[in-house]
Amino acid sequence: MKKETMKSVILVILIAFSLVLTVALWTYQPVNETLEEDVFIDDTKLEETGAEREVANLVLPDRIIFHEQGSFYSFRDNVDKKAFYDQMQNWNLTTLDVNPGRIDLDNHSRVVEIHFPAKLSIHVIKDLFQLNDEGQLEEVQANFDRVFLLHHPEGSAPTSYDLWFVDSDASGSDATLQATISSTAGEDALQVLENKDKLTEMIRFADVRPGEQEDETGASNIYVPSGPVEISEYVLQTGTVPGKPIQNDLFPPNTRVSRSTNNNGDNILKTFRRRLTQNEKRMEYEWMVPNSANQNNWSEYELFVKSMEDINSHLGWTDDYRLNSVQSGRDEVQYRMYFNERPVMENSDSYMLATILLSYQQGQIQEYKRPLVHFSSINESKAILQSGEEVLQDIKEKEDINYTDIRDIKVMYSLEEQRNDVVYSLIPEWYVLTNSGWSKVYPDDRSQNAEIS
Amino acid sequence: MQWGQIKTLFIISFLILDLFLLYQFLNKQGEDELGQISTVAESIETELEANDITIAEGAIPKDLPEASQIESKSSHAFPEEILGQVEDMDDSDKKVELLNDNQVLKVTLDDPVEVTEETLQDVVNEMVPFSSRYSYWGWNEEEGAALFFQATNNQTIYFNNNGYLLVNIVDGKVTGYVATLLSFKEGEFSGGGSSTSEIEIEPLSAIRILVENGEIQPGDEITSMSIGYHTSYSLAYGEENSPHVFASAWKVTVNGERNHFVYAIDGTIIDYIDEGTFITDIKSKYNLSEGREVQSTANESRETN
Repeated sequence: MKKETMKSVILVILIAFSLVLTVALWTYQPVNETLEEDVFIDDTKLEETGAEREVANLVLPDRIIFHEQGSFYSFRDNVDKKAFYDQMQNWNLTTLDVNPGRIDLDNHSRVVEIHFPAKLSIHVIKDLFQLNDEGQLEEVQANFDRVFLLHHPEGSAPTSYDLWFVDSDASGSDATLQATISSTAGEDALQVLENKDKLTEMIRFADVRPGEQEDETGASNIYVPSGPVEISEYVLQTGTVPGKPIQNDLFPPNTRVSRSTNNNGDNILKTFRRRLTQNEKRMEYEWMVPNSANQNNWSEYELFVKSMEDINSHLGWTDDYRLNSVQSGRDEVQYRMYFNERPVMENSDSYMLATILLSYQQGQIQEYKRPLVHFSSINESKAILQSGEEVLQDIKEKEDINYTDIRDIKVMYSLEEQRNDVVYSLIPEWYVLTNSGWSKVYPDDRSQNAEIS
Repeated sequence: MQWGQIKTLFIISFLILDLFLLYQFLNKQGEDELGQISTVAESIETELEANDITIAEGAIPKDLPEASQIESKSSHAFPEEILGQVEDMDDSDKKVELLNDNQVLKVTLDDPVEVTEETLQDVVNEMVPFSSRYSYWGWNEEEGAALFFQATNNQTIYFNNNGYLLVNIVDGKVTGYVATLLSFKEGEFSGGGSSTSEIEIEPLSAIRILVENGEIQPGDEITSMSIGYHTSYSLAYGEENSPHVFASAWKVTVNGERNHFVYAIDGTIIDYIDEGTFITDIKSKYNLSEGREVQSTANESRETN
């Protein structure tokens, strides 16, 4: 009897085991060991000091000029300019024409001219405006830095407005793109001309430039405020941007990193292909490419977006940075810091404290230079700079500037280190752009700002 | 039939069934593990065959050495024990110089020693007291030098300015040598984590990377492969006293005449290595005599005598 019970138990076990095995065989999936991602839970984001940006935050217009019957106006306050930019982003672009021919500003009593500080790829418009059909732009490789808003020429009462995208350097040549926006949007944009409270008068460089013909299309004019420029001057203090999260983001988690210091006391982090040199204020990262294979074939837009994403990945926007240049030949993107809506220029002491530079090779960051400080204002005072008229007159008298070479004139900030090293001054000054780059109109004159408070 | 007998019969049949199922299950598991690796290897092999690229027998090492990243010490001066050996060297027939804060040893023989390919190793062993630290790289007759690279963990450190032995050979005679030596940190890496990792790029994958980039052409034969160390950074000015980080790199010899290097960690091809430049740089930096110069200095000395 006992033997029989034993046999029953064994039989049950065997049946159960065969069932288990059958199920196991049936449902067997090879376990491909997935590598544990993010083994390093080290912080890769500048949570406290940095932020994320979108394309529209990085390519803001720096001047908006309203034309009315031969007079020119611009916003007096940055707040209004910002509001106009927000309004612009709601414009719905329709009937795109990628080969519109030349822009004709004649016979238009009212025009809005929007200047961007950098040459932008035409693909950026899908980030700046509402666009229904992006397909048309796919094959287009063109740039623009100015946008003109004009009445649509046909018919007396305009039912729509045209936007012309123009590359001002290629003056006289064809516009890059033309699109239509609704009449409501166009009228809203021109509304500000009805009551000029918010506007200040501008003068056109071509009007005071004696004997010089303005360019054929009138699309590359330089405008300066006619009256004296009232502007804030700042004292800035620096805050530290921790380098650690950026390092964690740049160095892959499985590589060994050696730490050392060089003769200047800079910290160096190094692997067999990467090197990061870092001191209190700046960092410089370099990725060594030991061969010449596979160059990037990125368009300027792709390059710009890639660089933005790479900086976003560690929340690297520690101040108000904006796109300064994209050089697709060198696969290099540069961002410049803005303060109070104006670009900040560096001198030898403040070199690389207001610039972020990224370059690429083989699809990866090859070089990344940036400041490790961020700035905040601790004191603001008002300064008054020369009027646009005076500046044009003074430039005319300068022997080292060829009048015809001038490509732009504007007030920008100079970032200057004060004696104690942690405090910086932000001094507004007139700058002129020629073929050799930006230079100060009054290089030695610190008293150009007559302080009033 | 008795119920008891039926049970016995069932027990036997289920036992057989279970054994069969178990066998099947284990088989399946084993297949999957091996299958993935061998299919990749097979596909590369077919690819190579299609491109008419052959691999010599025994060219691929059977036991994969452990790939790793290693860090040298920040001081590149010769360690004490080597300096002791240098001091003990008989300088009656040669000039012994320690340069760059004991980082470089330069020895110039008064009477050049005749050397052939066969005797080279013996001559060097006799001449350099710490020659065991280096492994032979090759004799470049064009540039008049035999190169030895430092080896660590039985692996060669390819082309590094802080770990070589260059024997200057003029007209078949050794006139002297220049040597540098890296020191390595013992134990764990300063970066934390383990210092060794599995080789990420298998030998066949390294070959495929070279083929895809046109470095290996149809008709080529891979004659040997070995793993060593390399770094893409030489020490910049102002950083002379900082460590090197080396990563494992495959050396792939093609047709027995040219070498290609691929990092075993990430599969990057290293194609800027040039033996000729490496030798001429060292020679000009440490003023090593060329054939013509030797003769002219010899003539000069004769004249002064």
